[in-house]
Amino acid sequence: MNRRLLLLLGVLLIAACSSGPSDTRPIVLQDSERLLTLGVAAHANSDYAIASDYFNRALAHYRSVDHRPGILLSHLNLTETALAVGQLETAQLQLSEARKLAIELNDAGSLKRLQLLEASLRWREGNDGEANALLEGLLLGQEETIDAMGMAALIQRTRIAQDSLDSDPETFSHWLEQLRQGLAHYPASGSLEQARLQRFEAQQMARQGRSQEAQQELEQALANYRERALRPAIAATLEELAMLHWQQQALTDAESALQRALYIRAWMMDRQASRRLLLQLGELYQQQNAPQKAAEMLHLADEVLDPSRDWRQLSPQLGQRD
Amino acid sequence: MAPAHTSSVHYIHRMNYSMQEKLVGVFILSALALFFMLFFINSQTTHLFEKHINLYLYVNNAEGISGETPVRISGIEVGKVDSVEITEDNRILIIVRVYERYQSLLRQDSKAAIGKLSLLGRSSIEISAGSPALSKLEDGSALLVEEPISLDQLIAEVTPVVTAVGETVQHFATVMLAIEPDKVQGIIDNLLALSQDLQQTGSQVASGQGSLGMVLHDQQFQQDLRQSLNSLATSLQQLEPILHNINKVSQHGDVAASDLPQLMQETRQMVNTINASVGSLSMEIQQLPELITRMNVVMEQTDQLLGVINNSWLFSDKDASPPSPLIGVEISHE
Repeated sequence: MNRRLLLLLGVLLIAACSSGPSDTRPIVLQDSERLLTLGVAAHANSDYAIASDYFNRALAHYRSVDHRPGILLSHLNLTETALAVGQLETAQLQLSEARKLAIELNDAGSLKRLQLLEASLRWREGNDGEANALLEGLLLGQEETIDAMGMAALIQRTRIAQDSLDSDPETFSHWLEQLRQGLAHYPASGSLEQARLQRFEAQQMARQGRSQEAQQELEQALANYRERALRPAIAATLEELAMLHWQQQALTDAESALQRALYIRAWMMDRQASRRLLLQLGELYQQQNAPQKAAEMLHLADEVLDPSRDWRQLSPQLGQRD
Repeated sequence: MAPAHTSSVHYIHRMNYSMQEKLVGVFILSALALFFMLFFINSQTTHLFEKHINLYLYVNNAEGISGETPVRISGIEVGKVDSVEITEDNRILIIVRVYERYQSLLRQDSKAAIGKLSLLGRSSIEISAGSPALSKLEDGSALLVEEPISLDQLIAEVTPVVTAVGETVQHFATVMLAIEPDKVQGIIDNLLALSQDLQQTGSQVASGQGSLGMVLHDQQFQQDLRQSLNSLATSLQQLEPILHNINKVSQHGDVAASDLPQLMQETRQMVNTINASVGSLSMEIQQLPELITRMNVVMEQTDQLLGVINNSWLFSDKDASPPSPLIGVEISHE
């Protein structure tokens, strides 16, 4: 009898320790949220096509019951996913929808997030001035402590400054220093942020002619990303490493790094980044006196942007995807 | 005068003997030929000028049917097969000639059947006499035909049986081969010994040996047996009062039997109650699907509870925070 009583007490204790009451929401909402969660997981795995599919399904579910916060979440996720693979038009469309809803719902958090996404979009569109204004707006009041949004904005701002490193090295140095200080005040600072800082520093070192140090920094960052299996970061670092090798006239190493980066971008079905890498490879092959290979790369670079071309037809040349 | 006498002699006398014999032979053979010819013509032309009607029979298999096949109604030959033809749609048409005097037997419900003996070469077409209430069949009518099983079909049906018989015989032969002659000999020897023992027992009984023999032959034993039977009779007499008592008891039983209708009624009530219980049980069974659905819900809730337990700090080694439906704020890796 005592045993049974103890067992009952044990079960009650475990139930009391649980994270909260069971989900009593309607099934459709639970299902929609499950779809969003699956999409987020796919996005974290760099499976952007799958993620996009999940988000679109979730959006349809939420629309079917006119669940506006759910619709907003879906649009935000779709914007993020479209930006990850350089689909700027889609990103713009989703962003506009999300902004309308966020204003209607007076969702300050979402509006802030949308500001960051818009900054990224404007930069990709080549509108650095607008992007900088949006980012600096986000950085206001983040001197003492910095949150995740502030950190992302700071990194994005530094990245924009990197573009004009040759013409305006002071600005880049300024933002790099801001980033260092920001990381010191960022409670959630981790290896990813550290790796990103290393990559910025490598750019500065390379410009200063400290190629060996720059390469070390990049390889450390690459090792860090590989450990996390973070595809976009690995691809970006390989691309930076390839540029460094190219700068040092180590063309074979540069080609190898570019090919590896291309494989990853192709796997991610990132047409914009794939095109950029193909153009770089074409130029590299021309320098290596391999005009046939160069022509092949340039031809592929033209085709890869054609949305009517099935990615599976291109992938054997870019890298096989499952 | 002599030449005149010579010319008046019958030609037969001018033939030699051999020629005369040949002539006789010709006459005899001619007579025989005429006889057979007449017989043949007779059989062919018996009904040559008799009025007839034609009936049409469509069959799948005209095996054994020819122009001479007789047509019978109730065993009476009423006509013959006129011809066997193949129609344009590849069916077999048998045109049957039935004499007009038998037309009254042919009615709308008449059916034709190819005789079973046609398989053995003695073909015939049997037509069933129709009901007089129905109208007669007219010239050119088609009749339904019941076809016998063909020889090929028969063989096909019989073949498995024959095969089975063959296999059985083979098994039997195997069994026979498996029997060892020595053992069979042993069994026969045992049977012989058994019959000898029986014979000996019979002779012992006949000679008054053993109980059975003593009953038949020993007078002393018979007297003892008689005395025993008398004692049994005495015992039975003593049983009489007891039986009387039993009779009384049975009378009580009669009284008890008068309560039987009430008992039956109670039993009937009990059966009705059982029926009602079974009926309610049936309702319970009907409610089973709903019960299962509810069980399902309970199971789902249990599943959720287990999930909650799994996520509780006590049992989970994972971060307790639920998965986010929103992509986390990411730093740009570009």
